[in-house]
Amino acid sequence: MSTQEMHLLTTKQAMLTALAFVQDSLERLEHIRFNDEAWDEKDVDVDYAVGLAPVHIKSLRATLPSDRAVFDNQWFMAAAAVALSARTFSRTDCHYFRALASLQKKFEVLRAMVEFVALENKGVEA
Amino acid sequence: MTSKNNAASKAAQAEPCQKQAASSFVVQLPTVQQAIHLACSVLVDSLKDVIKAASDRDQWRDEYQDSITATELALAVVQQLQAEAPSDADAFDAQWWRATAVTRLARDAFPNKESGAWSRLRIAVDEFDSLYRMVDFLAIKAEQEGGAA
Repeated sequence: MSTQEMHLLTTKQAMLTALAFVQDSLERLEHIRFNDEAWDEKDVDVDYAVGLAPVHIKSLRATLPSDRAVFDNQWFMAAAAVALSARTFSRTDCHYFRALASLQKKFEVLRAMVEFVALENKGVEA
Repeated sequence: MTSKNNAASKAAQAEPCQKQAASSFVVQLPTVQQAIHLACSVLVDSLKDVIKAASDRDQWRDEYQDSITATELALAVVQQLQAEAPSDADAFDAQWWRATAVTRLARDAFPNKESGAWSRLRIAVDEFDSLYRMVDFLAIKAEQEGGAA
């Protein structure tokens, strides 16, 4: 077995990693939100939109799909809620915004990582 | 024959439940070593992409040279990490941050912000940041679960 194969994750393992990681980040974000003393009620839409993301992530985590299109679909719904929130949030010089922007990047990078692993696995099978 | 059929039908009835149990049981988080290797593989791919996009004959401009040489340096560091990941977490951190810093400088100094090479550099920097945090997340989790990494 080559080093490459020894280290190789299954696609579902990559999905689980991505999901567990963003779920942890979402929980941290929620924590920052509750401790944010400068929170302005005009950001109420952000509150609700970000609240939707864990719903999609948890549902994916409960039954990891074999079909990557199913994964992508749910993943994008969660990612869109975060991206829109980052774009419309009223303050930019605060902990919450930086965490939100960092989470937006994580969503992009981790989706690409799952795709990378799926393609690598295809290459090994072929 | 009859008894065999009987056993088979019983097995068929039991199957959905077993399958469900198996699917949630089998998938486990990767080890930290696996995650490091994966992070390196993703970055090797992305950094090669940057170099390829900039070096394309129609795209190349001489003022790209510094950024692309820096990218090659980052690639060499990541390839080294991929080939033999240090067992010491601090050594991994130091090398990873070295490669991250060089790539970030290459991105910031890149003269053409409209080019494909620049947008790939931007993606590579995001990957360095996010995947580092992912490895860190898995390392903390492994530690919490009794150092089973």
